[in-house]
Amino acid sequence: MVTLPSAWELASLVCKIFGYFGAASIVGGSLCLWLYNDGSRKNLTSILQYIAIGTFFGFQGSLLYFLIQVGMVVDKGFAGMFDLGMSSIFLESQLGDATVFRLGGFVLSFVVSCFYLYKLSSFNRHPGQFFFRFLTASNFIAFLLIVFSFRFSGHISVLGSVAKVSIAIHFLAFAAWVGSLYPLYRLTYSENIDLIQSGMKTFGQHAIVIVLMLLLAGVSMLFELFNSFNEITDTPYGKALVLKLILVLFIFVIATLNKTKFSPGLVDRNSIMRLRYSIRIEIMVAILILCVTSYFSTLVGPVSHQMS
Amino acid sequence: MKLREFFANVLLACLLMVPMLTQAHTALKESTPKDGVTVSEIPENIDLVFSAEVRLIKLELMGVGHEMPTSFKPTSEAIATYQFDTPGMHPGEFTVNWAAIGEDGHTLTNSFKFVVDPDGAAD
Repeated sequence: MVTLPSAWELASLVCKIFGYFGAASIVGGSLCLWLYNDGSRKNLTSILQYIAIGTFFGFQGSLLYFLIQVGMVVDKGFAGMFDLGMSSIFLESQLGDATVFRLGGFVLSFVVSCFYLYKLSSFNRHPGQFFFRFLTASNFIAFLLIVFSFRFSGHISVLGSVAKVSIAIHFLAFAAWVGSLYPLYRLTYSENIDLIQSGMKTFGQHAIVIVLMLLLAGVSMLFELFNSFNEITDTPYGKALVLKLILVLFIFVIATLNKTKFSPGLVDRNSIMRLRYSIRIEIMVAILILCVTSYFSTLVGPVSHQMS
Repeated sequence: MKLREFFANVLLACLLMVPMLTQAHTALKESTPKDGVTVSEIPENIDLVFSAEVRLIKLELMGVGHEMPTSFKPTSEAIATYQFDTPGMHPGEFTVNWAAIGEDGHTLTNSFKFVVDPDGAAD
Protein backbone atom coordinates (compact mmCIF):
# COMPACT_ATOMS: atom_id res chain seq x y z
CA MET A 1 0.00 0.00 0.00
CA VAL A 2 1.40 3.42 -0.96
CA THR A 3 0.26 6.43 1.03
CA LEU A 4 1.41 9.95 1.74
CA PRO A 5 3.00 10.44 5.15
CA SER A 6 0.79 11.86 7.88
CA ALA A 7 1.71 14.97 9.86
CA TRP A 8 2.84 12.71 12.70
CA GLU A 9 5.11 10.74 10.39
CA LEU A 10 6.60 13.90 8.90
CA ALA A 11 7.20 15.25 12.41
CA SER A 12 8.89 11.94 13.31
CA LEU A 13 11.10 12.32 10.28
CA VAL A 14 12.17 15.84 11.29
CA CYS A 15 12.97 14.62 14.80
CA LYS A 16 15.13 11.84 13.37
CA ILE A 17 17.07 14.43 11.35
CA PHE A 18 17.66 16.45 14.52
CA GLY A 19 18.91 13.31 16.25
CA TYR A 20 21.36 12.52 13.46
CA PHE A 21 22.56 16.13 13.43
CA GLY A 22 23.10 16.02 17.17
CA ALA A 23 25.15 12.84 16.98
CA ALA A 24 27.18 14.21 14.07
CA SER A 25 27.97 17.40 15.98
CA ILE A 26 29.32 15.36 18.91
CA VAL A 27 31.78 13.33 16.85
CA GLY A 28 32.66 15.91 14.21
CA GLY A 29 32.93 18.71 16.71
CA SER A 30 35.17 16.69 19.03
CA LEU A 31 37.44 15.70 16.14
CA CYS A 32 37.72 19.30 15.00
CA LEU A 33 38.56 20.50 18.51
CA TRP A 34 41.31 17.93 18.63
CA LEU A 35 42.70 18.03 15.08
CA TYR A 36 41.11 20.48 12.63
CA ASN A 37 41.21 24.01 13.99
CA ASP A 38 43.45 27.06 13.88
CA GLY A 39 43.92 27.17 17.65
CA SER A 40 42.29 30.58 18.03
CA ARG A 41 39.81 31.19 20.82
CA LYS A 42 37.26 32.33 18.23
CA ASN A 43 37.50 29.11 16.21
CA LEU A 44 37.45 26.87 19.28
CA THR A 45 34.46 28.74 20.70
CA SER A 46 32.52 28.35 17.47
CA ILE A 47 33.15 24.59 17.50
CA LEU A 48 32.01 24.29 21.12
CA GLN A 49 28.90 26.31 20.30
CA TYR A 50 28.27 23.99 17.36
CA ILE A 51 28.43 20.93 19.64
CA ALA A 52 26.18 22.58 22.22
CA ILE A 53 23.59 23.59 19.61
CA GLY A 54 23.78 20.20 17.88
CA THR A 55 23.26 18.28 21.11
CA PHE A 56 20.44 20.62 22.11
CA PHE A 57 18.64 19.79 18.86
CA GLY A 58 19.51 16.12 19.26
CA PHE A 59 17.95 16.09 22.72
CA GLN A 60 14.82 17.87 21.52
CA GLY A 61 14.56 15.57 18.52
CA SER A 62 14.83 12.41 20.64
CA LEU A 63 12.34 13.63 23.22
CA LEU A 64 9.86 14.89 20.65
CA TYR A 65 10.15 11.68 18.65
CA PHE A 66 9.03 9.77 21.73
CA LEU A 67 6.15 12.15 22.40
CA ILE A 68 5.10 12.09 18.76
CA GLN A 69 4.80 8.29 18.84
CA VAL A 70 2.53 8.68 21.88
CA GLY A 71 0.52 11.38 20.13
CA MET A 72 0.22 9.33 16.96
CA VAL A 73 -1.25 6.39 18.82
CA VAL A 74 -3.57 8.40 21.09
CA ASP A 75 -4.65 10.41 18.03
CA LYS A 76 -6.15 13.30 19.98
CA GLY A 77 -4.01 16.07 18.58
CA PHE A 78 -1.21 17.88 20.39
CA ALA A 79 -2.54 17.11 23.87
CA GLY A 80 -2.43 13.41 23.10
CA MET A 81 1.36 13.54 23.12
CA PHE A 82 1.23 13.94 26.90
CA ASP A 83 -1.15 11.07 27.63
CA LEU A 84 0.35 9.52 30.76
CA GLY A 85 -1.09 6.06 30.24
CA MET A 86 0.22 5.66 26.70
CA SER A 87 3.53 7.32 27.64
CA SER A 88 4.12 4.73 30.34
CA ILE A 89 3.39 1.93 27.86
CA PHE A 90 5.92 3.38 25.43
CA LEU A 91 8.42 3.96 28.21
CA GLU A 92 8.38 0.23 28.92
CA SER A 93 8.95 -0.60 25.25
CA GLN A 94 12.07 -0.71 23.09
CA LEU A 95 11.45 2.91 22.15
CA GLY A 96 11.54 3.92 25.80
CA ASP A 97 14.90 2.23 26.30
CA ALA A 98 16.32 3.78 23.14
CA THR A 99 15.05 7.23 24.11
CA VAL A 100 16.60 7.06 27.58
CA PHE A 101 20.00 6.23 26.14
CA ARG A 102 19.78 8.96 23.50
CA LEU A 103 18.66 11.62 25.95
CA GLY A 104 21.42 10.60 28.33
CA GLY A 105 24.04 10.92 25.60
CA PHE A 106 22.83 14.31 24.42
CA VAL A 107 22.52 15.72 27.95
CA LEU A 108 26.04 14.60 28.82
CA SER A 109 27.54 16.17 25.74
CA PHE A 110 25.50 19.36 26.05
CA VAL A 111 26.45 19.92 29.69
CA VAL A 112 30.14 19.27 29.09
CA SER A 113 30.20 21.51 26.00
CA CYS A 114 28.57 24.36 27.92
CA PHE A 115 31.05 23.85 30.76
CA TYR A 116 33.94 24.12 28.33
CA LEU A 117 32.46 27.23 26.73
CA TYR A 118 32.48 28.82 30.16
CA LYS A 119 35.96 27.50 30.92
CA LEU A 120 37.37 28.77 27.61
CA SER A 121 35.91 32.22 28.12
CA SER A 122 37.87 32.63 31.34
CA PHE A 123 41.03 30.85 30.16
CA ASN A 124 43.79 33.37 29.60
CA ARG A 125 46.35 31.02 28.05
CA HIS A 126 46.37 29.37 24.63
CA PRO A 127 44.42 26.13 25.09
CA GLY A 128 46.43 23.20 23.82
CA GLN A 129 45.18 19.86 22.54
CA PHE A 130 44.99 18.36 26.05
CA PHE A 131 42.74 21.14 27.25
CA PHE A 132 39.83 19.26 25.70
CA ARG A 133 40.70 15.75 26.86
CA PHE A 134 37.86 15.55 29.36
CA LEU A 135 35.40 16.83 26.75
CA THR A 136 36.67 14.32 24.21
CA ALA A 137 36.26 11.47 26.70
CA SER A 138 32.78 12.65 27.70
CA ASN A 139 31.69 13.00 24.09
CA PHE A 140 33.01 9.51 23.38
CA ILE A 141 30.81 8.13 26.16
CA ALA A 142 27.89 10.26 24.97
CA PHE A 143 28.23 8.91 21.45
CA LEU A 144 28.48 5.34 22.74
CA LEU A 145 25.19 5.84 24.58
CA ILE A 146 23.54 7.06 21.39
CA VAL A 147 24.95 4.23 19.29
CA PHE A 148 23.88 1.70 21.92
CA SER A 149 20.31 2.91 21.51
CA PHE A 150 20.24 1.28 18.06
CA ARG A 151 20.30 -2.02 19.89
CA PHE A 152 16.75 -1.42 21.03
CA SER A 153 15.04 0.34 18.18
CA GLY A 154 15.37 0.46 14.41
CA HIS A 155 15.49 -1.94 11.48
CA ILE A 156 18.92 -3.19 12.53
CA SER A 157 17.84 -3.95 16.10
CA VAL A 158 16.19 -7.21 15.03
CA LEU A 159 19.20 -8.43 13.08
CA GLY A 160 22.34 -10.22 14.27
CA SER A 161 25.51 -8.87 15.80
CA VAL A 162 27.21 -8.34 12.41
CA ALA A 163 24.51 -5.88 11.41
CA LYS A 164 24.65 -4.14 14.79
CA VAL A 165 28.43 -3.73 14.63
CA SER A 166 28.16 -2.55 11.02
CA ILE A 167 25.67 0.16 11.86
CA ALA A 168 27.81 1.32 14.77
CA ILE A 169 30.83 1.70 12.48
CA HIS A 170 28.75 3.25 9.68
CA PHE A 171 27.16 5.71 12.10
CA LEU A 172 30.54 6.66 13.61
CA ALA A 173 32.07 7.25 10.17
CA PHE A 174 29.06 9.28 9.01
CA ALA A 175 29.14 11.37 12.20
CA ALA A 176 32.88 11.97 11.85
CA TRP A 177 32.60 13.10 8.24
CA VAL A 178 29.34 15.01 8.17
CA GLY A 179 29.83 16.35 11.68
CA SER A 180 33.18 17.89 10.72
CA LEU A 181 31.87 19.81 7.71
CA TYR A 182 30.52 22.86 9.51
CA PRO A 183 33.63 23.35 11.71
CA LEU A 184 35.77 22.97 8.58
CA TYR A 185 33.59 25.56 6.88
CA ARG A 186 34.19 27.91 9.84
CA LEU A 187 37.92 27.18 9.59
CA THR A 188 37.96 28.80 6.15
CA TYR A 189 37.26 32.13 7.90
CA SER A 190 40.59 31.91 9.68
CA GLU A 191 43.13 34.66 9.02
CA ASN A 192 45.96 32.17 8.58
CA ILE A 193 45.89 30.45 5.18
CA ASP A 194 48.61 27.99 6.21
CA LEU A 195 46.54 26.79 9.16
CA ILE A 196 43.48 26.40 6.94
CA GLN A 197 45.48 24.34 4.49
CA SER A 198 47.04 22.29 7.27
CA GLY A 199 43.66 21.54 8.83
CA MET A 200 42.10 20.61 5.49
CA LYS A 201 45.07 18.44 4.57
CA THR A 202 44.91 16.54 7.88
CA PHE A 203 41.17 16.03 7.47
CA GLY A 204 41.68 14.86 3.89
CA GLN A 205 44.15 12.22 5.04
CA HIS A 206 41.84 10.98 7.79
CA ALA A 207 38.87 11.09 5.44
CA ILE A 208 40.31 8.14 3.52
CA VAL A 209 39.91 5.97 6.60
CA ILE A 210 36.48 7.44 7.36
CA VAL A 211 35.24 6.78 3.83
CA LEU A 212 36.57 3.22 3.89
CA MET A 213 34.78 2.53 7.18
CA LEU A 214 31.59 4.08 5.78
CA LEU A 215 31.70 1.99 2.62
CA LEU A 216 32.63 -1.35 4.19
CA ALA A 217 30.06 -1.03 6.95
CA GLY A 218 27.46 0.18 4.47
CA VAL A 219 28.01 -2.78 2.16
CA SER A 220 27.78 -5.15 5.12
CA MET A 221 24.44 -3.62 6.12
CA LEU A 222 23.27 -3.93 2.52
CA PHE A 223 23.75 -7.69 2.64
CA GLU A 224 22.00 -7.88 6.00
CA LEU A 225 18.96 -5.84 5.01
CA PHE A 226 18.34 -7.07 1.46
CA ASN A 227 17.80 -10.65 0.37
CA SER A 228 18.01 -10.02 -3.37
CA PHE A 229 18.87 -7.35 -5.92
CA ASN A 230 15.16 -7.10 -6.83
CA GLU A 231 14.40 -5.80 -3.35
CA ILE A 232 16.73 -2.87 -4.02
CA THR A 233 15.09 -1.96 -7.32
CA ASP A 234 11.47 -2.91 -6.64
CA THR A 235 10.74 -1.76 -3.09
CA PRO A 236 10.40 1.78 -1.67
CA TYR A 237 13.12 1.02 0.87
CA GLY A 238 15.46 -0.09 -1.89
CA LYS A 239 14.65 2.91 -4.08
CA ALA A 240 15.32 5.26 -1.18
CA LEU A 241 18.65 3.54 -0.67
CA VAL A 242 19.48 4.03 -4.36
CA LEU A 243 18.67 7.73 -3.98
CA LYS A 244 20.95 7.88 -0.94
CA LEU A 245 23.75 6.16 -2.86
CA ILE A 246 23.43 8.70 -5.69
CA LEU A 247 23.73 11.53 -3.17
CA VAL A 248 26.67 9.79 -1.49
CA LEU A 249 28.39 9.52 -4.87
CA PHE A 250 27.77 13.22 -5.38
CA ILE A 251 29.29 14.08 -2.00
CA PHE A 252 32.28 11.84 -2.73
CA VAL A 253 32.94 13.85 -5.90
CA ILE A 254 32.78 17.13 -3.98
CA ALA A 255 34.99 15.79 -1.20
CA THR A 256 37.52 14.52 -3.72
CA LEU A 257 37.61 17.93 -5.40
CA ASN A 258 38.15 19.57 -1.99
CA LYS A 259 40.99 17.22 -1.18
CA THR A 260 42.77 17.16 -4.53
CA LYS A 261 42.07 20.58 -6.00
CA PHE A 262 40.67 23.25 -3.69
CA SER A 263 42.65 22.52 -0.47
CA PRO A 264 46.10 22.17 -2.08
CA GLY A 265 45.36 25.27 -4.19
CA LEU A 266 44.86 27.61 -1.23
CA VAL A 267 47.00 30.63 -2.01
CA ASP A 268 44.77 33.67 -1.68
CA ARG A 269 41.30 34.81 -0.58
CA ASN A 270 39.74 33.81 -3.93
CA SER A 271 40.87 30.23 -3.57
CA ILE A 272 39.57 30.21 0.00
CA MET A 273 36.20 31.45 -1.29
CA ARG A 274 36.11 28.58 -3.79
CA LEU A 275 36.86 26.04 -1.04
CA ARG A 276 34.28 27.63 1.25
CA TYR A 277 31.65 27.45 -1.49
CA SER A 278 32.50 23.82 -2.17
CA ILE A 279 32.19 22.91 1.51
CA ARG A 280 28.85 24.71 1.60
CA ILE A 281 27.62 22.52 -1.26
CA GLU A 282 28.97 19.47 0.56
CA ILE A 283 27.01 20.46 3.67
CA MET A 284 23.81 20.84 1.65
CA VAL A 285 24.24 17.43 0.06
CA ALA A 286 24.99 15.97 3.51
CA ILE A 287 21.71 17.45 4.76
CA LEU A 288 19.90 15.77 1.85
CA ILE A 289 21.54 12.47 2.74
CA LEU A 290 20.39 12.95 6.33
CA CYS A 291 16.85 13.57 5.09
CA VAL A 292 16.81 10.46 2.89
CA THR A 293 18.33 8.32 5.67
CA SER A 294 15.77 9.61 8.15
CA TYR A 295 13.05 8.87 5.63
CA PHE A 296 13.88 5.24 5.10
CA SER A 297 14.66 4.63 8.75
CA THR A 298 11.32 6.14 9.81
CA LEU A 299 8.65 5.84 7.13
CA VAL A 300 9.53 2.64 5.30
CA GLY A 301 11.25 -0.61 6.11
CA PRO A 302 13.11 -3.43 4.38
CA VAL A 303 11.06 -6.26 2.88
CA SER A 304 12.02 -8.57 5.73
CA HIS A 305 10.27 -6.13 8.06
CA GLN A 306 7.16 -5.68 5.93
CA MET A 307 4.34 -7.44 7.72
CA SER A 308 1.59 -7.52 5.09
CA MET B 1 24.36 24.81 -15.94
CA LYS B 2 25.77 26.36 -12.75
CA LEU B 3 26.43 24.16 -9.75
CA ARG B 4 23.77 25.96 -7.73
CA GLU B 5 21.14 25.30 -10.40
CA PHE B 6 22.22 21.67 -10.67
CA PHE B 7 21.93 21.25 -6.93
CA ALA B 8 18.52 22.89 -6.91
CA ASN B 9 17.37 20.45 -9.59
CA VAL B 10 18.67 17.49 -7.58
CA LEU B 11 16.84 18.77 -4.51
CA LEU B 12 13.62 19.20 -6.47
CA ALA B 13 13.94 15.69 -7.90
CA CYS B 14 14.41 14.28 -4.39
CA LEU B 15 11.35 16.11 -3.09
CA LEU B 16 9.22 14.98 -6.04
CA MET B 17 10.22 11.38 -5.46
CA VAL B 18 9.05 11.33 -1.85
CA PRO B 19 5.32 10.70 -2.50
CA MET B 20 6.17 7.92 -4.95
CA LEU B 21 8.40 6.27 -2.42
CA THR B 22 6.23 6.48 0.64
CA GLN B 23 4.96 3.20 1.95
CA ALA B 24 3.24 2.81 5.24
CA HIS B 25 4.49 0.22 7.68
CA THR B 26 1.57 -2.14 7.18
CA ALA B 27 1.45 -4.93 9.69
CA LEU B 28 -1.95 -6.62 9.72
CA LYS B 29 -1.98 -9.89 7.80
CA GLU B 30 -5.68 -10.52 8.22
CA SER B 31 -8.61 -9.55 10.37
CA THR B 32 -12.02 -10.88 11.18
CA PRO B 33 -14.19 -9.19 10.08
CA LYS B 34 -12.13 -8.29 7.03
CA ASP B 35 -11.59 -4.71 5.93
CA GLY B 36 -14.48 -3.30 3.92
CA VAL B 37 -16.84 -6.27 4.24
CA THR B 38 -20.51 -6.37 5.14
CA VAL B 39 -21.41 -9.19 7.51
CA SER B 40 -24.92 -10.44 8.20
CA GLU B 41 -24.19 -11.97 11.58
CA ILE B 42 -23.29 -9.80 14.55
CA PRO B 43 -19.66 -10.67 15.37
CA GLU B 44 -18.97 -11.77 18.92
CA ASN B 45 -15.25 -11.06 18.67
CA ILE B 46 -12.60 -9.39 16.57
CA ASP B 47 -9.54 -11.32 15.43
CA LEU B 48 -6.29 -9.73 14.36
CA VAL B 49 -3.47 -11.73 12.82
CA PHE B 50 -0.13 -10.04 12.29
CA SER B 51 2.70 -11.41 10.18
CA ALA B 52 5.09 -11.06 13.09
CA GLU B 53 4.85 -10.69 16.82
CA VAL B 54 3.79 -7.21 17.84
CA ARG B 55 2.75 -5.56 21.05
CA LEU B 56 -0.79 -4.32 20.54
CA ILE B 57 -1.15 -1.15 22.57
CA LYS B 58 -4.42 0.25 21.29
CA LEU B 59 -7.65 -1.17 19.95
CA GLU B 60 -10.71 0.99 19.50
CA LEU B 61 -13.97 -0.30 18.09
CA MET B 62 -15.86 2.75 16.94
CA GLY B 63 -19.49 2.81 15.98
CA VAL B 64 -20.91 5.96 14.43
CA GLY B 65 -20.13 8.62 17.03
CA HIS B 66 -19.46 6.28 19.94
CA GLU B 67 -16.92 3.72 21.11
CA MET B 68 -17.98 0.11 21.61
CA PRO B 69 -16.73 -1.96 24.54
CA THR B 70 -14.20 -4.71 23.92
CA SER B 71 -12.11 -6.99 26.11
CA PHE B 72 -8.89 -5.35 24.90
CA LYS B 73 -6.22 -4.47 27.45
CA PRO B 74 -2.67 -3.40 26.50
CA THR B 75 -0.09 -6.01 27.40
CA SER B 76 3.67 -6.03 27.58
CA GLU B 77 3.86 -9.33 25.68
CA ALA B 78 4.38 -9.43 21.91
CA ILE B 79 2.31 -12.01 20.03
CA ALA B 80 1.07 -12.40 16.48
CA THR B 81 -2.59 -13.32 17.00
CA TYR B 82 -5.17 -11.43 19.01
CA GLN B 83 -8.82 -12.05 19.74
CA PHE B 84 -11.11 -9.71 21.63
CA ASP B 85 -14.70 -10.07 22.71
CA THR B 86 -17.11 -7.48 21.40
CA PRO B 87 -20.16 -7.50 23.68
CA GLY B 88 -23.05 -5.27 22.83
CA MET B 89 -22.48 -5.25 19.07
CA HIS B 90 -25.39 -4.14 16.91
CA PRO B 91 -26.05 -3.48 13.23
CA GLY B 92 -24.23 -0.50 11.80
CA GLU B 93 -20.92 0.76 10.46
CA PHE B 94 -17.81 0.15 12.53
CA THR B 95 -14.19 1.19 12.43
CA VAL B 96 -11.41 -0.60 14.25
CA ASN B 97 -8.47 1.66 15.06
CA TRP B 98 -5.40 -0.19 16.25
CA ALA B 99 -1.80 0.60 17.15
CA ALA B 100 1.09 -1.71 17.86
CA ILE B 101 4.80 -1.65 18.49
CA GLY B 102 6.69 -3.85 16.05
CA GLU B 103 9.61 -6.05 16.98
CA ASP B 104 11.97 -3.34 15.67
CA GLY B 105 10.41 -0.76 17.98
CA HIS B 106 8.56 1.09 15.22
CA THR B 107 5.05 2.30 15.91
CA LEU B 108 2.39 0.87 13.62
CA THR B 109 -1.06 2.39 13.33
CA ASN B 110 -3.88 1.59 10.99
CA SER B 111 -7.61 0.96 10.87
CA PHE B 112 -10.19 -1.08 9.04
CA LYS B 113 -13.92 -0.83 8.57
CA PHE B 114 -16.79 -3.23 8.34
CA VAL B 115 -20.58 -3.12 8.29
CA VAL B 116 -22.99 -5.30 10.23
CA ASP B 117 -26.22 -5.62 8.26
CA PRO B 118 -28.41 -8.61 9.18
CA ASP B 119 -30.83 -7.81 6.37
CA GLY B 120 -28.26 -7.31 3.61
CA ALA B 121 -26.26 -9.82 1.58
CA ALA B 122 -22.93 -10.60 3.21
CA ASP B 123 -19.68 -10.14 1.24
